[in-house]
Amino acid sequence: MRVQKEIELWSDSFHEGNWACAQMGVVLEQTGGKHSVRYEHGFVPVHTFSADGWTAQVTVYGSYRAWADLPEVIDDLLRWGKPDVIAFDPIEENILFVVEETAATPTGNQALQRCERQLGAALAGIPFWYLLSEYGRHVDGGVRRDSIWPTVVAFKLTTEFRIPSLVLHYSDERNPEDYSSGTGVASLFQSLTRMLANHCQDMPTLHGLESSLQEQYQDMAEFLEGQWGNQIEHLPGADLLQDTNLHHEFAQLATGDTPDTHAYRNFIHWPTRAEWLASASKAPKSSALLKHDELSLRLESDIDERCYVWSGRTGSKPQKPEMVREWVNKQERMFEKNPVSPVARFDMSVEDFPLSPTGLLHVTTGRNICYLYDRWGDVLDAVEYCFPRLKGRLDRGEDAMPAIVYVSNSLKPGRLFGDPFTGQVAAYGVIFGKRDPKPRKLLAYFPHQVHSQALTRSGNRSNKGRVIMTEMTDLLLFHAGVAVDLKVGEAI
Amino acid sequence: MRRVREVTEEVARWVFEVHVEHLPNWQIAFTNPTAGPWKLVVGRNENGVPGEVHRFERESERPDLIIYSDQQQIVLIIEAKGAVEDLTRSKQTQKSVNVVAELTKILRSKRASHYWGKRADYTYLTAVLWGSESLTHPQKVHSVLATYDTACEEADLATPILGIESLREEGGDEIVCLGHTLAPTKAVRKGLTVAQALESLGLRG
Repeated sequence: MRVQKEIELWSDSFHEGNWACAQMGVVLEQTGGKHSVRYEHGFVPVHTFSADGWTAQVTVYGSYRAWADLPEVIDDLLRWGKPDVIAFDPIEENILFVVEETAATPTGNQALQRCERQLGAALAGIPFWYLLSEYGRHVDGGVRRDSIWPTVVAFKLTTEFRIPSLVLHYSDERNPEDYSSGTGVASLFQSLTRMLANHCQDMPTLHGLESSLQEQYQDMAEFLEGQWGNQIEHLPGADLLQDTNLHHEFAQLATGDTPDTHAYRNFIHWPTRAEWLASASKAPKSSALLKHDELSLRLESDIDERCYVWSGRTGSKPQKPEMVREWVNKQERMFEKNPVSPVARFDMSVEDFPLSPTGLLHVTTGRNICYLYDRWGDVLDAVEYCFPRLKGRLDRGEDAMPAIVYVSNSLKPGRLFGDPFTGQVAAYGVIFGKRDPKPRKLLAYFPHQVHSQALTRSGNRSNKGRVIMTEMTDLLLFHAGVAVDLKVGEAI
Repeated sequence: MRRVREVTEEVARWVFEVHVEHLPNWQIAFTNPTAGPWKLVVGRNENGVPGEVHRFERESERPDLIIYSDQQQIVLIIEAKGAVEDLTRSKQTQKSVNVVAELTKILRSKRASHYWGKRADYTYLTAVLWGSESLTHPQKVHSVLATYDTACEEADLATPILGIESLREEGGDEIVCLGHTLAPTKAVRKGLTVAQALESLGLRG
């Protein structure tokens, strides 16, 4: 009996959905199947895929919000950001797979901005592929290689959620940003076509994908092997990257099987400070601040005793004095709108921001973005020491847990729940263990932002940034030591 | 089949692209969706083989669509918006015309390209494209086209500009493309009027 399924392929643009269908059509035709397309209402692409015993009609809905009855599960997923392609079965009301793809190679902060989509799919239990260019041409004309972080996030999410979360690369050094170079595009659409075929034959969607997944995880490991040393001082478990057992284990984890061995448990697991010092080639050291801030100073000095950092290479992006003045004034006005008890005093002025050699003002405090502590209690001790108004007001019940402190020096108002900061929190939270079996607590510290921004839109739960910050943080800490627990939505 | 809630810019542009794909004598050289491997202006050589004519820089301003007809010897550079009002909001008109002027200059310089060649000498026209739920009032259309005509003349670009409306009639699901112009009898080039150019695009007025 011939099985026919109706599938919807939702996409950010019609082009992306149509392109994905065309690529699956190529794969299917290579194995003897058939693919055709027609347009309903003169513009809605309907692709017909058929092979032995099954047919799928895949309708492409481009531009998510343009449609009257966006399915609820897709609406929920979009709260984490808009991925490029979502395959959806409207009868079973479930998502088969999600694809994010970028035409350019993200560098710096950009590399982390899409990681929230990886996390959103994992939380919803949806297989996720992130297709991106390994090599990209920079504005200066040089060629840049992709950041390691999306790949690290994919490995971590596979471990934590036991679903496929993969990063596939296309292009090569001589053909940057070229979709036809490298193996990523072909590998991706072979997997997606197989999943579609499985679904249409009422088989588990990941049936028969183990070897493809193993190859994809191996490609990811090989990419990390060649690139991590260019970005960070030390990657925990780097010695396992060439171990085929590890790639096999990840394929097993992704398909929900129990791995034969447990190499993955030591892979990208950020250890205690003592273990880190024992394994790293050189011990990280504290460094001077560019702009003074009491808690940032304490965090830096803790590197020598209580915490460690993965890299000290963060740069400074000084700002125009007139912009700094305007932003400080705006922050002050927002601060005064939401008084707190015990009283907190706004204590920021343009004179606090040191002059750079180019006449701009530094807003960067310490040169590190994340500090990894063995004890949450040490973090709270530092916070209470620097902001006595919080003494006795913070929950100390989980002091023994490990912790991450994320610092954003951003001064521009209104960016708290936007790019790149929410992507950074999502990515660094996943990477450094917010969702590990023994999870790290996460404090996000914003020395130049005020608490009002975290409170004023408390009713807007669909804001992407707020969703991410609520999920990934335990405490937000703002200027003048005003803390906010987003899960409660109140200032402390 | 689900129903479009609103004829957004993406929907309006896509409807017209599908319309063009089905025309015998027009080709799409560039389209500008939000992402993906589509940041090239592509032409075809004498054997019909497609190839790169121009690559936009990552941060550069781009039009929404470029189409051309070898039969009519026209290149159409199109700015798209979800609503007709958005075409003239704030500094949009000048911004769009600047993009067309810059790109016209670039494409006119591509005579040596195997994939563009003689198209460098075609007539380059500006068009605006928008989505609508009911037929746009003629006065509004006139106002937008006149605004763009003036801006194009000031930028030494050919006029009149063309208007393309992706219209979903109330209660229906079909979206059709309509053509608008302020000067149907004006010659686009020798032997071809604006009305004839619109007709070759399959646009009913």
